[in-house]
Amino acid sequence: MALPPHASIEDRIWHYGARALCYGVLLFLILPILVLIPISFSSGNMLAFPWRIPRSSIRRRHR
Amino acid sequence: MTVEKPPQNAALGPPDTPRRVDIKREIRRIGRRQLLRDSLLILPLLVFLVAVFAGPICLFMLRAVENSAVPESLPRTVAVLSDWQPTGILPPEAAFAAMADDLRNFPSERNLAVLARQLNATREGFRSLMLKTANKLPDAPQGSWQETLVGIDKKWGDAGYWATLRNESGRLTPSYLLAALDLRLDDRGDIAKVAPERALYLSLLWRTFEISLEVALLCALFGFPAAFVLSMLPQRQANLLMICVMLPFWTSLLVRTTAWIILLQGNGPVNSTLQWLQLIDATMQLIFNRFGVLVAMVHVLLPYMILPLYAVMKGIPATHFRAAQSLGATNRFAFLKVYLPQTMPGIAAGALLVFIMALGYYITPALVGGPADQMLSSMLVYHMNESVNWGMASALGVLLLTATIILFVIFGRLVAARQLLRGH
Repeated sequence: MALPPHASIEDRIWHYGARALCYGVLLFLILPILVLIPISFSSGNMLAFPWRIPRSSIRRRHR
Repeated sequence: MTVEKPPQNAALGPPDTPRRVDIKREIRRIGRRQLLRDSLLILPLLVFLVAVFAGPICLFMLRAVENSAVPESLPRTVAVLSDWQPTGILPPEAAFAAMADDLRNFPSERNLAVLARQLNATREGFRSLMLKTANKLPDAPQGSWQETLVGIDKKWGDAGYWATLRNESGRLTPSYLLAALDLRLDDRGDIAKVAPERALYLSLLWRTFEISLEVALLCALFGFPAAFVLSMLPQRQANLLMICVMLPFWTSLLVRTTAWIILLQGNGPVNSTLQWLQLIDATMQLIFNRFGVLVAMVHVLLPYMILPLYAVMKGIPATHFRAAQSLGATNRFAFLKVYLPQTMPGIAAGALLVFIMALGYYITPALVGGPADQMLSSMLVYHMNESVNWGMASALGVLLLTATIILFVIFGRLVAARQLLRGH
């Protein structure tokens, strides 16, 4: 779905708009799944995002 | 033509005619055998569906109207009350005597508790009334049985409690289904609205449909461009990107909902990023409200929209678009008049799938929603697990199922009507 060289500005907006929306939706779908991986390294007992990776972070993995 | 001849002609006709009739009969016989073989092939599926799907659903739906506790536990009272018209006056002395008799001959404590709970669901105060009376009941009446029972609890002197008993005395009861529609049987046995502060289920049903519709619309809105771009990309690239759709699709619903709790919570990544970008000053409430429910449910259900849409879009030949362009259509016109109508079956299938799946959602609203975002299923689970009122639970199930079927039929008519209009 390559844009032809004679594409108008409107065509370009729609083309890149649709692409951006598509990649946005795909990111929206996949990110929460990927985010779960660093959380499995977090040391606390609460479900939280580990901004600083603590020393004992591997503990949960070994359990 | 010879084949069409009736049999008596065939017998008188030339020697080869009976054989032709035989061929016809033979073809029909083979056809019948094939039909039989085909039905045998689907028989296991049919038996399985009836045994584990349709059967249990029907049995559970019967619970919405079934009422064995009252007529089985209080047979004498029910017999006496059948002659009594509930018009605000108390039933005759015989009813009081029968009630005392029934309570004294009660099969077990457990049965009494079940009965008391069921009656309490219809009219508050019945549980304490039944348990107290069964506890304090003397062997012989002090004066009349009416005086004795009213002496134990004043509620026996209230005709309303007797009217409730009479309403509930049949083998089948409409009370659960009426309650699911925020209606009740009043003391005269007529259908009446429940008090406004006790009306609950219709607003819940309305909210369930509202959330499901919002989720379906959002899924269509975001799923369409995603499926569109994916279907236009070269196959290898599209397959790679499809992983982004399939991976969440294969991940457990609970895991995905939990991921959203972590992402959207007060000090979660989304809030921190927004604050870091200085888009917001204070922490924004993103979860335990409608926003969180919509985000999580759209995330869970979006693959169900993208996959059918992608399949439909893959089947639309690219030549149609190019043909429209070469005939002078602008890109926008060709898209709206040639491409979009052909994707309609995909949009309809996906939106309907998402909508109907969203109707029954329980876990996601329970985990990421606030009290104002709970859907009908939450009440159903409450009646199943906490108040142990299975009649009410199945009545709510019947309500949801009926509403869904009605919507489904309307939707089918709309789509069929549109196709008819397009045919003209």
